[in-house]
Amino acid sequence: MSGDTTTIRFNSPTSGGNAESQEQAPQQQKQQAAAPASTPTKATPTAGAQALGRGLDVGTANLLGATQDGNGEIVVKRERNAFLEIPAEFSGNRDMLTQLNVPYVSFRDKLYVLGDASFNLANMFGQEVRRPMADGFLSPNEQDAIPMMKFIIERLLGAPRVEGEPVYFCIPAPSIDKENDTVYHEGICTGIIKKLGYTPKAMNEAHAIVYSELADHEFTGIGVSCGGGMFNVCVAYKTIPTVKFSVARGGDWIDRHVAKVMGISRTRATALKESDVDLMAPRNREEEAVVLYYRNLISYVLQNLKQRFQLARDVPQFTEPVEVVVAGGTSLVGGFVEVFAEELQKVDFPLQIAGVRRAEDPLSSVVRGCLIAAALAEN
Amino acid sequence: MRRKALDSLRSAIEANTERRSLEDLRAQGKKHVRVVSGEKVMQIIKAIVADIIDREVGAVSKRDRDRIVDETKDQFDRVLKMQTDSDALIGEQKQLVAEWRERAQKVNAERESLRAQIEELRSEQAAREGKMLAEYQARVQELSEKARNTTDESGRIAADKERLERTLEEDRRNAAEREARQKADFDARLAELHAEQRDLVARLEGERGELAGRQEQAIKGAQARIEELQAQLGDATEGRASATARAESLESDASESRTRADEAAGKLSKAERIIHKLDTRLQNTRTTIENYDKELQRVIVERDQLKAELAAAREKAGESDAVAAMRGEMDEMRGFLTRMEEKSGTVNEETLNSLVSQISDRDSVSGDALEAKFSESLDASLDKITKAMELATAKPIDVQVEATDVLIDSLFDLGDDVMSSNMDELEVETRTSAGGGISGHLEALKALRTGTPAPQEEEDNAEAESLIDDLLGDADGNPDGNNSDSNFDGELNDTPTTAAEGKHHGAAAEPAAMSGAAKDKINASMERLKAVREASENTD
Repeated sequence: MSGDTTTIRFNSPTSGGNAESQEQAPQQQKQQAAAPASTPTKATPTAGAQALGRGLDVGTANLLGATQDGNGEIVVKRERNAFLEIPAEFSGNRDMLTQLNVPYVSFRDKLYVLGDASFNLANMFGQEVRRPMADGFLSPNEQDAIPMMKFIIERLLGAPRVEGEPVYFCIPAPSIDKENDTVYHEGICTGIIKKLGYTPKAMNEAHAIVYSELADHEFTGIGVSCGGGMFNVCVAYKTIPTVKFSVARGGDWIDRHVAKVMGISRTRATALKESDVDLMAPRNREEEAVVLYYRNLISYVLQNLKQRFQLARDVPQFTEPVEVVVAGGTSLVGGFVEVFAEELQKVDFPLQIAGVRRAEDPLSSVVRGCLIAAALAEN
Repeated sequence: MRRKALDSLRSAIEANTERRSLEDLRAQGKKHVRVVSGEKVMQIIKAIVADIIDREVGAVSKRDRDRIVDETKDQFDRVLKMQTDSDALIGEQKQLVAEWRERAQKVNAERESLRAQIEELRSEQAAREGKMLAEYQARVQELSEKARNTTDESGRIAADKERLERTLEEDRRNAAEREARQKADFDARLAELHAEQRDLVARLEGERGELAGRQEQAIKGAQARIEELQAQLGDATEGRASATARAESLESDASESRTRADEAAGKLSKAERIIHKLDTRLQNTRTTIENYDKELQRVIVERDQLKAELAAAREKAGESDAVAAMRGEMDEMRGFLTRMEEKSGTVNEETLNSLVSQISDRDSVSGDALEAKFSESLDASLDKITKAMELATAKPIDVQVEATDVLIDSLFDLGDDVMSSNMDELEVETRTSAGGGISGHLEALKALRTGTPAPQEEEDNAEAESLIDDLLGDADGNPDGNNSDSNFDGELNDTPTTAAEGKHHGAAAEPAAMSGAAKDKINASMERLKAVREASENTD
């Protein structure tokens, strides 16, 4: 990710005008690139009172929990949202699993391994991991999803500091191109968190990015959460969401289509996308295919955003140009911000856009936003 | 000679001889036959054998002789058997030969028939081939003729093609000439149009200048008119305000009168209803009285009858007990009749008096009491009905529980034997977020939520205040509201709509007609003022 641009400023607000990129110093970029991959550390008690309120990012690929420590730092815990049933003949030695730091759940005489360990063991047993969520929502076809989610969320949140401590968790907006049920998903998450002794509250995923990244702009602008299963968009005016929606396309959609047109496996396509691809300078046909589908997806999102904005009623007047902030794992690819800015300039957007930038910590921007909302509610 | 040897000899003879009938022999021309007996033959053989033996061997014993005879016989039997077998074999072979001959004959016959068939087929084949050959030859002839014709056709087509090409060439030349002519026409027309356009533009410029001048004049005139009208409006406003106030007071009086009239009408209708009820009751009472009268008449008649009978009975019997009893009964009846008369008379009088007093005092019948009583009973009935309805439609209190809550509860209520984990013994991957703390965000949010009103809101408030100031003027100094501005909250119309308005409009100068735009502007201001007033009243 060295040499990657994180901010694009428009000379004059869209449409028209040339975009100029703000290249950051390589050292700073390396630090930013390295931050999400820091070594896991054990959470140790810190001096000072810990602020109440927690954030929870319930994502298709990963679940993250955030809290403030005594020094005001944000501590983020992460767990892969996957599990694997262990064959009965291997399920006897549970102590060994604990010693190997492999989290497991025993449920109705079956043994399940959770999180990252499930991927390693899946390769060993020649099986596929099972996912409690699909396309941003709890999968109703996965019967064992709820007990797994319960344990993972409990692991991330821990015990509440006070009874009824607020927890804000993110949910996606209903998709405009696919029928999905937010009621079941929200109900289950709310129920689990409430049972753990917290006071749960749902908030839109992209809205959380507004809270996290647009404090210097009076929480006014556009947040885009680029996930594996879907993209979420929120246009906010002083924290009030005016337009919010999601599209059922994300990183997995890109992998699927690149694999199909190039005749390669999906795993290979995923690895390709997550390698040092630069969307502005593809080096071969496979990378060109990746660029093609990224551009298609970004253009699709922006076209729908424009339409939604034009159709929305009671939209406040944005007197000044607004910023667009992107976050999420799918936005980590090199050149994403430049491509986003280019596609944005092609769309005759009804709002004036000042620039496009990536969140400082793209993988934890959503959970930070949830934490901010929870801390505000507590205060 | 032993019989056994005879038997063998007999069978040997039979094996080596044929049986023929005498007719066969006769047919062969034989007339005589020599008959040989078996015994004789045996003797002959025996003699021969003895002779041979004697000659060859010499003197032999009888036993040896018999032995030699037996052996010879055995040998003879063997030879005979061989002879018999060979004869049988020969017979079989002859039979086989006969069969083969027969089969050969059959095969020959079949061969002959097949030969005949082959010949037939050959002839047919030859005929068919001849026919096909003839057909092929005819077809070849036909095709060769067609080929000749096709060659002719190709020649014709080529000729047609040449002709068409020549025609095409001519058409092209004509089209080119036509195009050139059209182009020339078009250019000429275009030049004309350009000239016309230039004329039009010049004309338009002239007209535009003229219009601009006229417009300016019109605007100046309109502005002067507006100023004039505004001055007139001020005057008209005053007069209109007072006229409106007077109209309003009259209207309120009229409405009060209407209300009172309605109330009076209501009371009157109630009284009429009561009168109707009383009339009905009077009618019923009169009917009852009439019935009593009839009854009374009937009783009187009976009394007279009884009196007459009593007198007759007295005269007849002159008995004291019966008379005393009858007298007693008579006295009772008399008393009863007297009571009836009094009662009916009393009822009549009382009822009539009360009815008359009620009817004569109908003006004094207070509808209020009835109304109060009616309202009371109505309220009671309504309460009863309401309670009955509530009881009838009362639903049990439902406890609504989310399906997901039930599911989650069941999950959390499971014991460790059903669901357990080692997660509380393990570490979780933890890191510090790169974005820093969130205290700045919280401060910004708090400032946002408790900050000053939005600029747009302030602007609106300022506009409303200035509008109110303009229109109300010194409203504080005129509590009666005679200030035309403070009382003027209706739309500005050119002509009065009611007679009252028209009457009071006469006092003030009738507002002159003004431009629609000015009127709209003033009406909009009035609407805004009304809205502000209502808002303030609501908050109060």
